[in-house]
Amino acid sequence: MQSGVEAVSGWIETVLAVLLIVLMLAVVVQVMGNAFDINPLLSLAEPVALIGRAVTLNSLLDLQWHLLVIVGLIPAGLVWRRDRHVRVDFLYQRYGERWKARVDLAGNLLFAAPFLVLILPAAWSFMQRAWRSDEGSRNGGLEDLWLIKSVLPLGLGILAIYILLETLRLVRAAR
Amino acid sequence: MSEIALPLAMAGLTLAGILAGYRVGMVLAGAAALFILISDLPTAYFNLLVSRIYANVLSNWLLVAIPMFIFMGLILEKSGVAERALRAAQTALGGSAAGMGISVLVIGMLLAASSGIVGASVVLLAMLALPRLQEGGYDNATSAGLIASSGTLAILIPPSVMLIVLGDQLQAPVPDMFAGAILPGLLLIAAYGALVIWRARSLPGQGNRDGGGSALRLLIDLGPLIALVVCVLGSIIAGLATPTEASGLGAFGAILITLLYGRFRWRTVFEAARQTVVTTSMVLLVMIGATCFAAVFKGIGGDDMVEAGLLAFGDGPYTVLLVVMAAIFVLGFVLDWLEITLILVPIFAPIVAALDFGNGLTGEPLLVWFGILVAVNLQTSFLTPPFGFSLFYLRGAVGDRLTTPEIYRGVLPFIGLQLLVLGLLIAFPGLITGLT
Repeated sequence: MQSGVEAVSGWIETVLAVLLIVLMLAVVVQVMGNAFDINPLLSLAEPVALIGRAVTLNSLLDLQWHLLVIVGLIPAGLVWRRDRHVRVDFLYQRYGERWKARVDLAGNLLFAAPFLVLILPAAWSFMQRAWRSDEGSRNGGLEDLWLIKSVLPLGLGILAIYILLETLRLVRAAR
Repeated sequence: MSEIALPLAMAGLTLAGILAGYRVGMVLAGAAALFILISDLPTAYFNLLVSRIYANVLSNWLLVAIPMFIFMGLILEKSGVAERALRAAQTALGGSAAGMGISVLVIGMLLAASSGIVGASVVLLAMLALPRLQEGGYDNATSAGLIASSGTLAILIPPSVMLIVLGDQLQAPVPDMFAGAILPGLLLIAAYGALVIWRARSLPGQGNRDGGGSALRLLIDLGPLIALVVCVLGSIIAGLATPTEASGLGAFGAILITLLYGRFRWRTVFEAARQTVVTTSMVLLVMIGATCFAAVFKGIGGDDMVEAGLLAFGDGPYTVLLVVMAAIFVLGFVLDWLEITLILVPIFAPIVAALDFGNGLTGEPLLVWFGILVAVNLQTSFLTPPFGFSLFYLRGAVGDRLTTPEIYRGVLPFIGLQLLVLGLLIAFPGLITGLT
């Protein structure tokens, strides 16, 4: 189980690292397109999902923040598991293992639980509104905005699962 | 009294959660959730939070520049390009004792402009420069202060992630923030330099070193890095490229430089990319938490409470500014720049923006001036004992070669210089707005 989670985590990390490099290339191509005035980069006869009828420079601009959202939100749970989220730790680092577990357990119950339980349904219905209204770009960028809006409930959902698993472990460690 | 009970309780709970050591982003988000439930805000407020997160953080194209600048810095660091440039600068300047101290400063400035990561800068400087400074006769305290302060320039000298976040929060143009930080950065370097020269006046030079090396060697080792920095920074300030565009090109340029030196490895690029992903996620969670916190804190009247609290000390513009600066300085002892920028700055900014300082500044220039004052203030907080981050990094990097009291004693004169420069910047806003 543990090694399985590690393997999947490592694999996700690699995919996200690749997406980050794609993000960099998207910026480079967009700047080049601007400089040499090539726009649209690609026109299509039939509209395609997400892209619409053409790959324009605005598609690339949209792609950039879409990738940022994916790269930033999807690993939130993973980063939680690695304990890399920002802590102010001048007191925390002096606690023993049991007190660390107690602080984290209290935090999970007091702060994380109410936030995640209430924000997840709101994030979900936010995505559904975009899906129902078939919301797209207003400036010839990427279509199907519900897709990127689904990353918020997805990323926070994964985070919630990691926090739930951690909480179960902490209950034992805090005793 | 009752109208300040809720915001006061919210601020108190949040501070307690953060100081206890729980993850900052989640403390902020959780406090927001709890106080929607406790106060008379409707539960539908959660929908508002989601649209705020989406509008302010997720669909914010400017923020793309953050991972790109981090990526650029990590590539230069992990490929060894930064280290190579540092060694070159050290050889060139290391002839005399004062020269050696100045070389640490110059290297710090170069690192600041290319990588902008405080932790990496301090550690790298400590590794490369500490042995040489000690050989050159510098006492431990001065060496420690010089290394910590030079490394901390990374957070102030553009392109810097802190200036991007500050500009975003203040709704001040990031290119102006970058331009505004240049003279203050140089002023700090000059002040540090004067201190170093004064300290080095009685130290013997190391005549046996043929300081210099060949000029060609120096050009080869430093040239590409300086060219990259000048292109990235220059194109932003000249308005040729947006910060996001320049950041992406900068990262790409960093990879090209590794190719040029034959240091390109897929492994290095991937390692840098993975680490960037982690850092991006860290920053994003704090931003999401801070967005929720700010919306709810404002919703329950927190802004009014803070404003009333500030004005209680007097309503003269400079009194208010001084109180704001003191508050940021004091909170900087325990909180990170990211939290202060995301939570306090949006509350303070409109109050300061409405003041007339009699220095002719209004609107955007006033915000840029205020933003850079905050930036210098926050940079100082990296150096203040006992919790300054740079001091932790330095301590971690040098092990037992420097003691904690030596480090504390060493940074004190540099903190003094920081505050002096901060005073100059308040008195002469032209130092900031002159280049914007």
